[in-house]
Amino acid sequence: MTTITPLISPETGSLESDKAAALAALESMLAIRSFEEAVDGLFARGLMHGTMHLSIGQEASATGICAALKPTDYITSTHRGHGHCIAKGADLTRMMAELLAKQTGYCRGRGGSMHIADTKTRNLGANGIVAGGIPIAAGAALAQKMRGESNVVVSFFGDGATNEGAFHEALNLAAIWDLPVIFVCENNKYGMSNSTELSMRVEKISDRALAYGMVGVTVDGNDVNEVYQAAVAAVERARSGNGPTLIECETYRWKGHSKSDKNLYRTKEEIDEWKAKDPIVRFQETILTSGLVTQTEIEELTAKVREATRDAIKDASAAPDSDPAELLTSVFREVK
Amino acid sequence: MPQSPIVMPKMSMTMTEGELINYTVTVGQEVSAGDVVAHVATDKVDMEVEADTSGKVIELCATPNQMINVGEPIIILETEGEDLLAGLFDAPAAVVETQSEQVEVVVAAPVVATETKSVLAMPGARAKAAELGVDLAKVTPASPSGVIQVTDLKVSVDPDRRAKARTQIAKVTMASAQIPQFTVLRTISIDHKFGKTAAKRAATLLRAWQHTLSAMPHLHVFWENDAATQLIDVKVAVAIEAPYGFVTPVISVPKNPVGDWDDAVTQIVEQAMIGKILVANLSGATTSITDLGDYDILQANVMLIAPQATALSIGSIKKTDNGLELIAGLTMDHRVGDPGDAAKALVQFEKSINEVI
Amino acid sequence: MTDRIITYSEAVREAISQAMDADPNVFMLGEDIGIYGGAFGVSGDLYHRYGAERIRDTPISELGIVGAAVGAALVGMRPIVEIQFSDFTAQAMDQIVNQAAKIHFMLGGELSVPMVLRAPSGSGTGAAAQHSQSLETWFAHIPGLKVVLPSNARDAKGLLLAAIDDPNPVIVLEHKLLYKTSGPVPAEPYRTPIGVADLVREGKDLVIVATGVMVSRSVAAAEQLSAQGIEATVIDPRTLSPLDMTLINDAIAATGRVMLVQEAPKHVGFMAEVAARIAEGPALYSLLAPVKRLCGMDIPIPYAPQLEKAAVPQLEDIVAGAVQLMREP
Repeated sequence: MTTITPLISPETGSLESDKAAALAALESMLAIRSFEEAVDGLFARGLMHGTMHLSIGQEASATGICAALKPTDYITSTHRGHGHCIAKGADLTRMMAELLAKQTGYCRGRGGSMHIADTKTRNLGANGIVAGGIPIAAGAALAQKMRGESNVVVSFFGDGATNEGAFHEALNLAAIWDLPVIFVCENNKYGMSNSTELSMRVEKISDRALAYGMVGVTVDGNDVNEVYQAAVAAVERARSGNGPTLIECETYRWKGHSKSDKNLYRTKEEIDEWKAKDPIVRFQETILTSGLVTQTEIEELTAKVREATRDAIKDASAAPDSDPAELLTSVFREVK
Repeated sequence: MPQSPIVMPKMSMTMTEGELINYTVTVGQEVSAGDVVAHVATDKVDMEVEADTSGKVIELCATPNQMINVGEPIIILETEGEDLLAGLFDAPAAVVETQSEQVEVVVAAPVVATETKSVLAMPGARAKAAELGVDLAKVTPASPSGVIQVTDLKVSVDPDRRAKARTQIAKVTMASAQIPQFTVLRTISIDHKFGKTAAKRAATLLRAWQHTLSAMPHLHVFWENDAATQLIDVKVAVAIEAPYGFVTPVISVPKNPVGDWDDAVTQIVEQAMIGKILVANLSGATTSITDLGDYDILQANVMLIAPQATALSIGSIKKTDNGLELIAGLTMDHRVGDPGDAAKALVQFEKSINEVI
Repeated sequence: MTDRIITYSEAVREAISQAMDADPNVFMLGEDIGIYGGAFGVSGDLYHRYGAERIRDTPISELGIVGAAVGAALVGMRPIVEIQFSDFTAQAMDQIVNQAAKIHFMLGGELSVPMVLRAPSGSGTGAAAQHSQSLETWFAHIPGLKVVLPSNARDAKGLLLAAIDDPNPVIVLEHKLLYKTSGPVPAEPYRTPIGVADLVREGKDLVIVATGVMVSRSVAAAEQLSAQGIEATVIDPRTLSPLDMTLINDAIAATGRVMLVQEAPKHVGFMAEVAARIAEGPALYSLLAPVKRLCGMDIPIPYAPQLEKAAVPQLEDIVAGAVQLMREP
């Protein structure tokens, strides 16, 4: 088992002024980056099978949102879901084992990168269908409300999902029923190759909230503290029974959509421009400049995360391969 | 300074190798993460390869037009930071081959060919006819539809069938009589218990005989046109007593049988005993085994089936204090080997069978 | 157990109500199920008895409704979704097929979706092509979904209670023409096991396997056949997925003749699967005549009453089919 330090709510109200919370947020972002770079490397070297979608460059939105959640809050995630999973506290070894098609993986090798769920950290699952998780999040939130529980549900999805019917139906249901759900759109500008300019007429995706009578906000998705602040407000609204919020995090994926992307639809200049807005570098600079943390602390954290990733790969590689013998008996849960 | 390879990237699920088109950097050049360092071509697309980390190029590992396997280095960089995966994997992982071993079953001579005239019959009637050995073409259906039903079948055995089988067997044995052959007998001691019926013994005998022939490849040959041809895969014609005489399903014996291979063999033999062979194919055997251990005879002096050079036979099987003793006979083409070779083969067979059990 | 004669839709309602009494996690959601009482009156007065929270009226939003049910089920609720007409499941197919059916397997067994989706199915109401289909094969083809078609009031209650208990997604297709039919139903809660076929009638000459509304139609046909000296066994598989072939195989072994009756179009229908399973043996070797299928025509359900009737097997078609089968080969 390889886990990172759980995210903490800053006592000061800002990730930029509470040292423990800042270090935990930085560790989360570094872990997402390191895990995905490792996955990218494993795939490139032919050691990993299938396909996967990397969120390198988008680490701040997963981290900023999850920093505002309690361990008992739920999330639903997407095909680009490693970051959400890690920020919510998943075991890196079981994640890596899943990607390496091992029996000890989160899905026993049946799901792979696009389908990791973790009941322990209340991650209801990544989803290979665009917008597939959004109505599910509304339903999980309905259950919280019906049972009088104070948990909230976060649904992560991309800009492309907001053109799906499921998005609109789920937002409408959540709005009319005042469900404790936070819809988090990670707007990375492209649904595969289709840009937001080509796929929608609204200025901002958060404008779509208006159609459902819901609060919608747009934040700099590469500023972890700004994301966190928006999440705190939305979580508070949800917990107090005032219904859902749509948060749009403007961000960018550095890598292609999946492993077969030739980047024909965007320019090197655009990618470089966004790389210059690296959410990790920005946060490190902010907390170094303010004197909240030292360079040594950052270096130690980076080394720690690197070792955690390597441990996850080592442990996962040593695990037994997933077992075809149990396939037929796994389709249904046994009836008691 | 640590070194980090830029490898041939896997760019699609099916890609296993790529062709280097050209380098866009030279040795000694500093590159940043994201810089294009080479162009490569795959079966699907031409792609730019980017440096995944910053550093100085210290080696270009390939030349243009060279094919490079996925995961193998194209460029070596000297880097500030360590390669995240350094030392975790020494070499690209071998592609796991999970080819399943398949039992090939074919009918070898002597065989009784069935009539394939178009006859309308219900499946139940066909099954019953096969069981009774009735030729459906000779049955007159009672129904006006002309379809034969179970009730149309009189319990009568086709008198032609046994005769036809004998004719086939005559052909094979007459050919065999031209081969200069001899048989060597030996008592084989086995430390373990062993299948009580020929069907249950078959898999073990097949494994042991495969093992023996692999150890003595000069005996595993065909004698054809006055010369021996070396054989690799062991495919055994297993002679089985069936209702109309011997049938010989051919079973290919893999080097390391896996899974339920033994059960599959037992099933093939049991089916053959009632005259059913799965795939109608008349060739393929490289050797044969005849197990008459069920009949408590001393030994059968079996004949070779040309161009095979060896035929193993199993006779009397007796219990001993710590296992079993059986009498094995090895018939051999004298042109391929001498009685001494056969004797050595039976010594090896004893070793082999104790090993595979 | 105390049997009363109640209608099929009362039996469904009673099952829902007994499940809701026994478990606070059970709730119902769907279009017009509240004060309206449901498009076919199935939810009836449940809204007044359990309130708007648990008899939850929804907008016309099938994808959203089913998705919400999947999400609620994932965290421990026991939602019963009513889709107003089974035809409208097409709107919600992603949540049914790609989410509910796959989650347990795909996520390595960590989670499951104990959701029930009920929908009125079938023709006979003059509602034409978009409100009259029999779509059971869509669902039965998807690993991870259980599919039941209750053919009478007793099974409507027992299968629904079993479906609500089941930790997996269960699709319950109720036939519109059956809602007003009556039959003996025990007052107490009971479970009709999912995956077990029912021997409705015994006869020595042929087997009729029928689903949904075709079951009662086949029983009526069997009575007429009996008058002609032909005794038919009638089997209702009740559950299409997972399918229990034991009873069907045994009955064929005893009679040697089988007729498969469904309302849905013949081409690639559920009975094609039953026929294939028969062909895979052992029942094949007992056959005295070829397997006969009597199915809906391969057309959209038409509007005009005489056209609609012609599109699916009727009582006289079943009688004629059986007589013909007895003459074969």
